[in-house]
Amino acid sequence: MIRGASSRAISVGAALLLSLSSAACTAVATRSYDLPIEQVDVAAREAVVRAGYPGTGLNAQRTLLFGFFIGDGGEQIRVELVPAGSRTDVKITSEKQFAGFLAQQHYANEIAAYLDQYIQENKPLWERAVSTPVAQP
Amino acid sequence: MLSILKKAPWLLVAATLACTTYTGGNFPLQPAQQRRAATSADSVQLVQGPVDRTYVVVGKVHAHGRCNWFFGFTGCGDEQMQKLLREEAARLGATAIIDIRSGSFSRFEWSDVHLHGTAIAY
Repeated sequence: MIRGASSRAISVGAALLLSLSSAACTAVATRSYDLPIEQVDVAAREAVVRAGYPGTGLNAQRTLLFGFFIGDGGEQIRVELVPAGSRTDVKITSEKQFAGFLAQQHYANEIAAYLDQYIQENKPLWERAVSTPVAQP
Repeated sequence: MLSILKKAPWLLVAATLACTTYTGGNFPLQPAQQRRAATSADSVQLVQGPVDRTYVVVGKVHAHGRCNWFFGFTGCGDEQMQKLLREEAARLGATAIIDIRSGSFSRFEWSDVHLHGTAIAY
């Protein structure tokens, strides 16, 4: 009797965990900028590094770390840049992984916000990078 | 077996101390033909405020650290983060870094610390 109840509890728990994990495995954020792909590409790579992803690629996974109570990392990110005439469309996909799932979070919205910030910040820098040296008062 | 169990807390502390990661990135903004040779990280200056000399923008640089609240107190310090930022700037051939900004966020027992700036050459 007790054995049957405990196995039922285990299977209910497992089903709950499975449904929780499959409920929000992926998050997507999109953006579109009136800029050439080269400029959006640099800002997108900066945004990915800003969120703590290693390397400077547009596909990356946060390093998995062991903590005292709870670990961190493992989330995967994929940034796709699609040129559309003079504009560039951006699709940011964040995926949680099974290992360390409960401690993971989606970074798609954070990266989209950082991307907005770096697009604005880099606009005057692009002009300065190709022009002759300037003096600042 | 018993000796391993006795050492377990120390092994745990050592493992968690190791859980401080540093990542960095450099992003050249100049066209490929104008890019500079790498410089020494020690010679790269961190400049706060306006620059009174002529300069050219070389690129953007980032330094990121992740530390554990309980055991990562030795990591993500200003010195370590600035060293990483200098190394990234040196790879771009920069002589200084301006407009340095920092940011951080925390979750559970983890903190992410970030520095980024604009790499320039005089």
